[in-house]
Amino acid sequence: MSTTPLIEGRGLDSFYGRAQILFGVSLTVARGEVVALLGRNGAGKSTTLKTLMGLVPPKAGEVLFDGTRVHGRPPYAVCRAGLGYVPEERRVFAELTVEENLEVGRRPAREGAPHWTPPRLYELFPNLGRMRDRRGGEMSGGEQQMLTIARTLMGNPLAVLLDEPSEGLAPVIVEQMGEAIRALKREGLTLLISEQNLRFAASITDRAVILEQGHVRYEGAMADLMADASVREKYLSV
Amino acid sequence: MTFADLAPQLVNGLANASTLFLLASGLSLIFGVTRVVNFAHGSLYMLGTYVGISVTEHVSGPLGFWGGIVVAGLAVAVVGVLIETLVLKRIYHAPELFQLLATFAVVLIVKDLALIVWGAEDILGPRAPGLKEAVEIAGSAIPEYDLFLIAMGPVVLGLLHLLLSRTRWGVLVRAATEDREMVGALGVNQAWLFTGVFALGSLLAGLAGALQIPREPASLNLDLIAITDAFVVVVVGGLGSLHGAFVAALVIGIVKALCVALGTVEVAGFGIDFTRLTLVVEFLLMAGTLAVRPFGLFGRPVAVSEPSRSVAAVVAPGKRFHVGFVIGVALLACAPFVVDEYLLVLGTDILVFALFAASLHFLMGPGGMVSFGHAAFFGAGAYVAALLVRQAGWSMLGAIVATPFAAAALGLAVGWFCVRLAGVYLAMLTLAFAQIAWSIAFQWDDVTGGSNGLVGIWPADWASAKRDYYWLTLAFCAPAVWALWHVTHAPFGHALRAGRDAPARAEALGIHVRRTRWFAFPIAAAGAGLAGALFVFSKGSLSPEVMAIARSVDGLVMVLLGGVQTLTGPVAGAALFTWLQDETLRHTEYWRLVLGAVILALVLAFPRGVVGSLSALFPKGGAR
Repeated sequence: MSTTPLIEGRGLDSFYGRAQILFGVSLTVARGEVVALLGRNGAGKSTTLKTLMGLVPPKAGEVLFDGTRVHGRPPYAVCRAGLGYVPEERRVFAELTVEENLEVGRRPAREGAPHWTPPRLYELFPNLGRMRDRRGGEMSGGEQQMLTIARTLMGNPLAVLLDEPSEGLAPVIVEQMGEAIRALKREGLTLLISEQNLRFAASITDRAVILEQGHVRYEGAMADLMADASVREKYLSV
Repeated sequence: MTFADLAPQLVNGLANASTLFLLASGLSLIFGVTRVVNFAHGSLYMLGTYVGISVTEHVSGPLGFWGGIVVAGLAVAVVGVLIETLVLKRIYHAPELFQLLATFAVVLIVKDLALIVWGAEDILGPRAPGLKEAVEIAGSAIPEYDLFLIAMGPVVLGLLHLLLSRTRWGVLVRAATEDREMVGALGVNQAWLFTGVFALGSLLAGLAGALQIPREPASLNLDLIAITDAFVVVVVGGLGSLHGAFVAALVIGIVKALCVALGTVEVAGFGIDFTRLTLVVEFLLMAGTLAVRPFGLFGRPVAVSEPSRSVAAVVAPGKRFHVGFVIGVALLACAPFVVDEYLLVLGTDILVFALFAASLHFLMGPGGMVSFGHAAFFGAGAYVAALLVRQAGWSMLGAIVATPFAAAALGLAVGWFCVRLAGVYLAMLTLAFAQIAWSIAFQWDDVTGGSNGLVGIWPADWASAKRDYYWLTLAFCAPAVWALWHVTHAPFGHALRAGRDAPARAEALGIHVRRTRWFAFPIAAAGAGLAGALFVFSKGSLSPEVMAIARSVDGLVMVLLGGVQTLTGPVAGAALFTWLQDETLRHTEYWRLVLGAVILALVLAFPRGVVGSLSALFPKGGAR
């Protein structure tokens, strides 16, 4: 197995209009690794994921996927290269049924990545299997979150950027979500997950990257972070 | 009235509804996915009619007719793809209004190309081979072709429904209609999707045009007629809803037919001629529908997937700006000493349209409300001023001073309805009111002179010299434009912009957003009305054309050409547009072609408007 990181951001500067959000953000995610991107509201977590995906083109810096430069390419090309994206606001297609939502995400099988089909996804998310013909807009928040993850998996990605999967979900659903993410990890999927819920993040990830006001402030093993109250106090407590 | 009287009209109306549905469904699809309000859709329809007739002229018999319809559809689809790939693709990331401006330019270009190829005369098409006869139903003779068209509507609706629900492409189109950025992040190349949708929408427009061959002659006016009809259907049905478009087309077709069938009816002692209503009934229907259902019959609020584009901050004009303004006006006042009479007349036009554009900009820029019907206020001003002088015997000056108040009253009434809506729906409602105003002017012969208009409305003796009238125009327009700019930066203007950029937060700060937006209407209307009054005396006559759709479109082009994000842009745009129009009109019969090409070139070169782009290049120079 190569040592090239699967996802790599180098010195990323990103802007919304004139407001700079990211300041030289660098991070790597190795193949098969599950990394948590932590930080307070407005720290730049979502923007980092959008920048990696090509949704927010960086003004400076590089994005490499599997050793290939992808910055400056449109999101669809980044997706086809094997990087999936699950947005924060869920963004299911409200007028489309569950099956149709999955169809939008469907891409050909990819070597080295798990191959997903609707039946396999219904196994992973049994709730979805029971509502194949329901419209996205008529589903609960948790069901929608599962659908967006399943929809992205239909692209057979090598890695997935997951933006706050636990946000606004009931604890029991968060538990199910954690179960599903651990299953994906067992499949060998690489994941970069932005989270505010530290306990949830600790239960599913190996390593943590902490952002504060658009700067990377901390990088280390999840276990070390959980053992270091001062770092958590400094960057994560509200 | 018996069924036998009604049936032929009803069948006619239903047949019209079918082509109307084809036309509107294409527009709706294109808007849904690309978010482009394609003004050139009517031009595609017109091309379909011309191409279809041309084919039948070269190939006789059923092959020529039915083959011609197919060829027309395909040819128009190719034209649509060319428009999308050569023009729109380059400016999808520009502000939405720019795409609108680009499609206006395409309208101008296509009209003149059609004039070059097919000439100015209307061309009659052949009747449909095999469907020339009439069948007798319940005692009335019903044309077979009408029955064929009536069947076409549901057939096309069914096919489109299958395409959108049963194919992967259709699923992607529906997904992109909701959230195209997400579709891109899921690996779909939107460029192909957009081009495909444009091809399909254009095909439908071309087919609709070609199918009308046996029923109406090809004419150069079809483009604007078709686009307004299509807009009305799409808006009444609800943007993006095919079924809505179908129902709306049926309703409009039937109601129009009923108006013809009813003829003149006595109601409470008044004779109401319903046939006259056909010109305006669809707009009345649209206004009524939108008043009750702001997103049409089957529409939903348009999802905004991308974060609202950052609007460049308009800096309050400083001292230098005011000094510059005074110097500019002083220079303009000196113009009569150096230029000839011809240029003075052109200069008067430019001043009038500068005020017109500035008043439209007040709604569009600070207000964030795009109006497709601003000419209504301009035309109302012109008619009010003319009638005050002719019928009420007022002096010219009195009429000019009184007109803005009358226009403001109209603006207050129209605005009350419009501010209940947003975005394209608001724009369409302004269009509806403008069409209603136009049809009143067009049909109220006793007062407005109908289509002949009014003549002999010349300035008072003391202002009859071109030079004097120029000064008079400057004396009204300069302070009026200055006042509009001043209001933009007065607390009212700040409240207006706050309501535009962040309505919820503005409300939380205690700003009554809807009322603020409402009061922007009389202000803008007063400016446009004053421009209209000055216009009518400079021309000496007026006709309903002063408030036609084309004039509203001219205003939009002026504002967009100059740049909606600047104060001076619309004035510069008005000057550029009026001068270009005059210049090209003098040198070529095909001025629309030249003008359209110039606008297109400007849009592609300066996607922020001329003044906007210049001040971006030289951030310190030029007033913003």
